[in-house]
Amino acid sequence: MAEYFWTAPLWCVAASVITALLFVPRRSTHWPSALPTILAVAWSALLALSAWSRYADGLHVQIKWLVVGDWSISVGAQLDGLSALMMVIVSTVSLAVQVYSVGYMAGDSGFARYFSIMALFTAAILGLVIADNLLLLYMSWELVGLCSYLLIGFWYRKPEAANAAKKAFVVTRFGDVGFLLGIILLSYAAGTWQIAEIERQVASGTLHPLFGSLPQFATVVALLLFCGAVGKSAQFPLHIWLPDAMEGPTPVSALIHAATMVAAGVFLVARMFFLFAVAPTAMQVVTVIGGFTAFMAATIALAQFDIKRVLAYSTISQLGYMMMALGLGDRVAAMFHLGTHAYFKSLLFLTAGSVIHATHTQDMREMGGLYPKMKLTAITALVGALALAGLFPLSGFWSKDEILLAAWRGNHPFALTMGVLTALLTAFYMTRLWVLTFLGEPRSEHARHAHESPPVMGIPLLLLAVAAAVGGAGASTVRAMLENPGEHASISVPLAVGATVVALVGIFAGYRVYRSAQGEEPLRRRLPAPLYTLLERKWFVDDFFTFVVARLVILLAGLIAWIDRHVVDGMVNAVAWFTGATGARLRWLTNGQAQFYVLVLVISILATVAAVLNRFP
Amino acid sequence: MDWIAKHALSLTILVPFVTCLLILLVPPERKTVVRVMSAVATGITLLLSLWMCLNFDFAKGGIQFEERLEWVPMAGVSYHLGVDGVSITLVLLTAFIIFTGVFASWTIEYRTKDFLALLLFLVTGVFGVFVSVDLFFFFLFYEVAVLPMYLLIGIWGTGRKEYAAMKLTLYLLLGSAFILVGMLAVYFLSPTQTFDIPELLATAKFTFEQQRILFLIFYVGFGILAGIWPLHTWSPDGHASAPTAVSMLHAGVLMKLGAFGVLRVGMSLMPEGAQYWAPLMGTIAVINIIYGAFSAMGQTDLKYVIAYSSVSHMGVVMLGLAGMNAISLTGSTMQMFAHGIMTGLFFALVGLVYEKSHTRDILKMGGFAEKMPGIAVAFVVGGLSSFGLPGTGGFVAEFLTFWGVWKTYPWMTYIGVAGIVITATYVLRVVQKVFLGKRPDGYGDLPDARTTEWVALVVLGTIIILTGVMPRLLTDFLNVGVHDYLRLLGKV
Repeated sequence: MAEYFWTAPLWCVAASVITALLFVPRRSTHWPSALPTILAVAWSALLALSAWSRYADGLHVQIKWLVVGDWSISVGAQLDGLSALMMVIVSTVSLAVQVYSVGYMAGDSGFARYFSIMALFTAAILGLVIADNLLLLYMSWELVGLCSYLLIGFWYRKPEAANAAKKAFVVTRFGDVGFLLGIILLSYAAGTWQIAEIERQVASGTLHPLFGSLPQFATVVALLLFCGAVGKSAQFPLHIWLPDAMEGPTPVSALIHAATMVAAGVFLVARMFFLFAVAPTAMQVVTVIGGFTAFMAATIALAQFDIKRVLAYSTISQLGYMMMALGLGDRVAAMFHLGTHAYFKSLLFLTAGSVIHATHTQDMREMGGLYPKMKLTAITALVGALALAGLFPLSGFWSKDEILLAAWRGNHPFALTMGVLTALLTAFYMTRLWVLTFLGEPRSEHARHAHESPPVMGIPLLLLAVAAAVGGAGASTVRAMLENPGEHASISVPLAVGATVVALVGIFAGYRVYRSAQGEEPLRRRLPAPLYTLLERKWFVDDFFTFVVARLVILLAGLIAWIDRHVVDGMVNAVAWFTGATGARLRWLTNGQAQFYVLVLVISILATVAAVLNRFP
Repeated sequence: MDWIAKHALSLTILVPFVTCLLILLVPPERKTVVRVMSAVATGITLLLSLWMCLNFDFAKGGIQFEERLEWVPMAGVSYHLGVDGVSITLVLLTAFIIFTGVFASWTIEYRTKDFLALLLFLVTGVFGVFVSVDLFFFFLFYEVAVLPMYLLIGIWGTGRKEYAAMKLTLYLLLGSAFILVGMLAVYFLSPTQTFDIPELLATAKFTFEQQRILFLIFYVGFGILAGIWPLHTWSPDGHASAPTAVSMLHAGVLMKLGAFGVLRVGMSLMPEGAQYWAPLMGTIAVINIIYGAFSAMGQTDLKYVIAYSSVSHMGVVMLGLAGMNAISLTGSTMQMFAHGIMTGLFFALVGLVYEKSHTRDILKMGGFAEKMPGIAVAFVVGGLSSFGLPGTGGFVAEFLTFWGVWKTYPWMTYIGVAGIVITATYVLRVVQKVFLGKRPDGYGDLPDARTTEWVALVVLGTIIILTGVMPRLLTDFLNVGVHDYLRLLGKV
C-alpha cells in the first residue's frame, strides 16, 4: 500500500471535483456532501501511515509533464523521512478538522462548497510535501495559497472577509516572487528541477554557481527562497495577513492558518536545508527574522481581545520559533516543533471554534465562566494551552526545549534571549486566554446560555488533545526520520528545568493578573501607555502597510492610468486634432470653383517665371 | 475524407465566408435561423481545426496541410496556405473564440443578421491571416479582418463607440501602412521577386542594414496590433466600446496576430535585424507588463480593466519573443493561446455582467456572486490564469516566458515577475468589488448565466484548466513550431 502514497493528493482532488459537481450547484447542506472529502482524507491518512512505515525505502514516482527545448520537466513524488512525517501530520490534522467541520458548518448555505475547497486544499498541501521537484513544489505552494484565499473569503458577503482574503493572497504573493526567482536561478545552476539531484550537486560541490562562488550563490538563492517562506509562514514583515485571515471559518484557521499551510514555509526551508547549510549569512538572517518574529508576535498577542487573533499571533510567534531553530541549524527541532504545534494549535483553534459556536462572539470580553457549561471544550483547551506554554510533560515542552537547546548549543545569545522571553510571554497570554474565556462570571447573554458542542465536534477535540499531550514521545522517532537512525534525542536537564520555571512564572503571573479581571484590560493600567499602544497597534507594521505601501501603490496606479489617458493617448489625439485642424484651415483651397484654381495656377506660373528670371537674368 | 484533408485550411476560411453570404439571403426577422447557421458554421471550423491538430505530423514539422494555387505568377503572388506548430494552435484558438463568441452574441436583437454576417466575415479574415504563407494574401486577409471591425464597433458598440471605432481603425491602418511598406521592400529586395514566405526564406538573403530597417518597420507595424507601449491606446478604447463577441475576437485573437506577425514575418525573414532590436523589444515588453498592470489597477470601468490587462499580458508575449530561445519562445506562443482564451472568457463575462446589471462601473457593484455564482466562478478561473496561478494555462505560459528570458536578459525577468503581484492585486480587487461584499441597493434581478450563455463560460474555463494541468496538449505543437523558428534564427 505504501507504494501508492502518491495517490493521496489525487483522491482528494477527486473528492473535491465530485463535491463541486454533485453538491455545490445544489447548495446542498446535508452531511452526505461532506462524505467524499472525509473519505478521501481518511484514506490519505491511511496511506500516510503506511508510508510512514516505509519512509526509508526511497519510493519515488514521476511522469514527464512538460518538454521544452532541451528540458524535459518531470513531476513526481518522493518519499523520505521529511515527506512521510509531513504527510502524517497533514492528513491526520485534516481528518480531525473535516469531521469537526461537519458539526461546525452545519446549516451553512456554503456547506458543500466548503468541503470541496477543503479537499482541494488537502490535495495541494499533500502534493507540496511529497513533491520531488521544485516546480511541483512551487505549483502546490501557489495552490494552497489559492485555497487559503477561497476559504478566508468563504463568507464573501462580509466585506472584512473579502478584504482579508485579498490581503492574504497579495501579501504572500509578494514573497512568492522571490521564491520563483530563486527556483529559476537554481534550475539553471543545477540543470534540473529535481530536489534530490540538486542536493547531490550541492553536497559534492559540483553545483555550478551562476555568479560568484558557491557560498555566495547559495546565499542569494537561499534568501530568495526564504522570501517565499516569510510570506507563507507569516514572518516579519509579511506577517500582517495572518491575523486578518481569521475572518475565515474557524476550522479553516485550525487546519490552514495554524497547522499546515503556514508551516509550509518552515517545511520549505527544511526541504532546502542543504542549501541553507552552505550559506551561513542566510542562516543568520533566518535566525534573526525568526527570533524577532517570535518575540514581536508574542507581545502583540498580549493586547488582543479577539480569541482567534490571540491564537493567530501565537501561531506567528511559534512559526518564528521554528524558523529560529532552522537558522540555528537544528532541522530536527524545527520539524518536531512543527509537528507538536500542528496538533496543539489546531486543537486550540477548534476549541475556540467550539466556544464561538456556543457564544456567537469572538471577543473574549464577552465570554467568561464557560468552564461549568463546556467542560470538554475547557479541558481540551487547557491541555492545548499548557502544551503551547511548554509545561512538562505535554508535547510542547519537549519540542520547545529542543529549540532552546539549539540556541544554547549554538551559543547564540540573541536567539536564546528571544526564545526565553517568548516562552515567558506565551505562557502568560495563553493563561490570559484560558482564564478570560472559561473562568470568572459570564460577561454576556450568550455566554450565560452557552452549551457544549455536539459529539461530532467533541470527539476530534478529544483525539487532538491526546496527540497534544503525548506527542512529545515522538521526539526520537522524528530524529530518526530526519537524521541518521540510531541517534537519540538529547535533553539538557538544567535547561529543561529553567524552561519549566519560565513557563510556570508566566502561567502564575497570567493567573494572578486575570483571575479577577472583569471587562477592563489590566495590562492597560500596568504597562506604560506608549508601550501598550505599541502592542495594541501591532507595532505599527499593519499601519505602515495600509497607510504607506498600499496608498503609494494606489497612487502610482492612478498616476499611470492618468498619464496613459492624458499624455500617451493625449499625443495620439493631438495628432488626430492636428490633422483635422490643418484640414479645416486648408479647406478653402479646394472650394470647387474653376476660376479660383485657374487664378492659383496663373499666379504660380508668374511667380515661377519671375523667380527663374530673377535667378538667371 | 481525403478531399477534406487536402483542403482543410481552405475550408476553414471558406465555411465562415460562405455562411456569411448565405446569411445575407435569410430574411432579417428570422433571427434564430441566422444564429443557428452561425453556430453551425463556427462549429464546423472548430471541428476542422481540431481534426487538423489530431492529424498534425509532429515528426515532420515545418509547414503542413499545405495548399498552393498560382494566382498572379508574374507578380509572384500565389494562394499559398499552410500551418506550422505555432499557427495551428492559433487557428484552434480562433475557432474556439469565434464558436463561443457566437453564443455570447446570442442575445443581440438589434440587426442580428447584419451583426453575425459581419462577424463571420471578420473571422474569415482572421483565419486567413493565420493560415496564409504568402505575404500578399497575408496582407489581404489582414485588411479583411480590420475593416468589419469599424462597422461592428460603430453600430453595435457602447459608450463612445464612433470615436473608438474610428480610433481603432485608423490606428490599425497606420500599422498596416508600415507593414505594406515593409512587404513591398521585401518583395523588391528578394532575388526572385516573390511574396511567398517559404520561398523568401529559402532564397532571400537581406544585408544586415536592410534587416535592421525592415525589422523595425515590421515590429512597429505589427506591434501596433499587438498593443506595444506606447502605441497601445487604441486597445482600451476599442475593446471597451466593442460588443462582446468583437472584444473577444479582437483582444483574444487579433492582438496575437500582431505578435505572430512579428514572429513569422519579422523575426524569421530578418533574423539578424531581430537580434539587433531584441533588447529594445524586451525593454518595451517589460514596460508593457508593468505599465499595463498599473493602468489596469487604476481603472474603474470593468471593460477598461480587462483591456489594460491585455496590454500587460501582451507584454509577456513580446518579452518571450525578445528572449529568442526555445523556452521563452514556447512561453510566448503559449501565452498567445492562454491569453486569448482567458481574455475571451473575460470579455464574455463582462458582457454578461453588463447586460444584467447595466453598469460597468466596478465601484457601483458588489456582492454579485450571490446572484450569479456561475459567472463569479468563471471570472475567478479567468483571473487565476491572468495572474499565472498553477493549474491554469496562464501559469505555464508566464512561467516559461520568465524562465526562458532569464537566459538571455536576466534583468527583464527580475523586473517582469513583479507583474504577477500587481496583476494579482488588480484582478482580486475586481473580484472583490464586483462579486464579493454587500450588494448595493437598486439592483433588481441579477440572473446567473442562462442556456446559451453557459457555452463560452464552460468551454473556455475548461480549456484554461486543461492546458494548465496538461500543458503538453499545447506545448508539443509549439515545440515543433518553435524549433522551426529557432532554426531560422540560427539558434539551433
